[in-house]
Amino acid sequence: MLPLAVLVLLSQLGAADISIEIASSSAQVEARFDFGQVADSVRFSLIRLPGQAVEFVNLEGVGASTQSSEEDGLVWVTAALEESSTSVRYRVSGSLARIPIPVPVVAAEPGAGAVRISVRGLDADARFHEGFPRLVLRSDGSAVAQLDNVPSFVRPPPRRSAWSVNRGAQLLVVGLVVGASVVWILRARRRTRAGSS
Amino acid sequence: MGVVLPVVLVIYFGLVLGIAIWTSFHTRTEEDFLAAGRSIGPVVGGAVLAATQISAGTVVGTLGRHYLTGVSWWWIWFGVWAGWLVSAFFVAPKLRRFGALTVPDYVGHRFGSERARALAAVLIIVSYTIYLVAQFQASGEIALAVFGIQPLTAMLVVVASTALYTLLGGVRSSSYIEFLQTLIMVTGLVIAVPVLVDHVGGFRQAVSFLESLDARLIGWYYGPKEIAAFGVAFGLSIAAAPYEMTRFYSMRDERTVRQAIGVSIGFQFIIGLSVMAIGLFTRVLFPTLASEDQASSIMAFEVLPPIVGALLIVAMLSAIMSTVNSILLVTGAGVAHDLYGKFIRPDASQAHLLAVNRIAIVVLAIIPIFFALQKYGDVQAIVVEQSKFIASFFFVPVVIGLNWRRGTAAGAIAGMLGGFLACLIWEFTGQSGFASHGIDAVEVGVFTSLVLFVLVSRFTRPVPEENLSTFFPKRS
Repeated sequence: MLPLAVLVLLSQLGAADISIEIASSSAQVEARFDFGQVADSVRFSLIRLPGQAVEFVNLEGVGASTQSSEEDGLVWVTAALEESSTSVRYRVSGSLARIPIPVPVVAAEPGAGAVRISVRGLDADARFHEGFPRLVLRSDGSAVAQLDNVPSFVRPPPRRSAWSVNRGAQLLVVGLVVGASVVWILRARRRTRAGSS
Repeated sequence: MGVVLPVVLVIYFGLVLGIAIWTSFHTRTEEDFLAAGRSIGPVVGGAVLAATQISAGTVVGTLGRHYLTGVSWWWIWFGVWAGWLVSAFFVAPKLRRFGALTVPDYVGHRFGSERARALAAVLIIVSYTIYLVAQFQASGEIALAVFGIQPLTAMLVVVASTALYTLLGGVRSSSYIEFLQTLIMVTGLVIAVPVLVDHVGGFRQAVSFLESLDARLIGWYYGPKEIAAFGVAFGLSIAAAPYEMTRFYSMRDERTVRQAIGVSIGFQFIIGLSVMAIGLFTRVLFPTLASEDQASSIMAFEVLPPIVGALLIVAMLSAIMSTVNSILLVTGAGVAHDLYGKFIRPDASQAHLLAVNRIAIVVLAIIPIFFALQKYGDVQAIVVEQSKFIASFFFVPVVIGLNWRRGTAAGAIAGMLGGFLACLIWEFTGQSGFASHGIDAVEVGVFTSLVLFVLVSRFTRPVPEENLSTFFPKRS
């Protein structure tokens, strides 16, 4: 996994709108960030998975002094901000098991639900709530998540027929609760019988 | 999460209320209320000790520290477990044999001094009020992240529900409820780990990303000296923690206490590992949270599948409630049993003392809310501070006092006061110099307490033999 970063320094993230269009062999991502104020620079980190290529198409709202450097597998891109908002467009090819998202180093206000992620091109029969983040299918065919924080990546949800750790974990919890209840009831009955005899 | 979280919460609070009502029928005397009639066994006892130890400081604070600083915080657990082992071999059996109701009871009897008892009660109340601040602050963080409600509302709900079950059944109800809470915590935390591993794409990918983000996350964020200082603070405070020691009194006998400590360490090992893994994986998923204290609730609410997430949120609330409950039992008893019952109304009836205890619990639960709303630091930092104070004034009179018969009342008073003040002064004057001198306030506090305890004891009248005979075998 090779993290890639774009550098810009600010105090708070006002809003983020991330659109992902998944095709058969690649995904197009457009991530728009609103910082509410103009500042000198901003910084993002972006995970690049093994077997995955990330090609930047366009950076908007940044100055000409944008630079990039790589240290220990981490690519830093420092960009001067010309406006209070910036937009990053890139193409991800190769493995699409996780689609990386540029994460600004500044956080959004807690509880504000400032981060909106929209994914298109997913299978209609996918279990949307088992992806990361949990997605909700809209009538226009897109799957949407509203979060407080920008995630490192979007993990497309599994197909309905596929087994998933999420599903296994839920079944395990239900099984444990039912099993513990049965054991407790049996022990209580045994004690009652022992007490009455 | 939809309807799953409300349903799980209703089931959980229903169970808690049911246990509290059931146990209230068995709570008639002060001994029932404060020591569960000495009836708790090793498994329930071990779970109770774990639940008391695992607080908001762990599921919110420690998890947040792992999120922020990586794996090195894990090493402080060895300090915690060392403290438990000291307690198991040098403290718990003797205290259980003594069979008091409160920890100041021990201080008063061991040193034959009501002044020492009163001082211990006051210092315990002060230190644990700080601890409650951390618990309430954590409940506010969870409420804001999960339910979007204001921290004050969440704090009032936690106080009301915890005070209710504490008031109804005392230690007996809290013991069975904490057994349930430990099972929920272990289940929720352990099941969350594979789900997160699956999301991040495996351990190697997670480690690789964290290493790139900040190499200290998987190495040494804190230096060995700092880790040692934190570990010492936790270890020394655990070895003599009044809220844990009170639980020893409720167990059947000395053997049960030792077994329970072993069971408790087992639970803590599992919980500690899970908390570290969850903190690190949450950093991979959300590298920049506004507050590290939100890592646990964000992860439970936004990452985990609904049933597992709901279980984990309940586990976090359980951890807070179980610790708040334990602290309220100790501080309430400090006011009612050790101060009111001994100095103000020594002739008070059992019913009267029980009523005062319950009023004290309500009042002492409300005071820390004010401080929690000010947010003086992150949850883990507040927990560390109270641990330092507890260790500084209590480790020596308890651990040394139980194992050195020459300790006197004057020595205990000097040790408690001196340790507390030394820690306080060092904390507010010398902390910034930690990196250069490497000496933490807890080390200064405990050392001062030890020196004063030994020196003053050497030059003052020994404690009468009838007081010592409970703790030291007669010389043949």
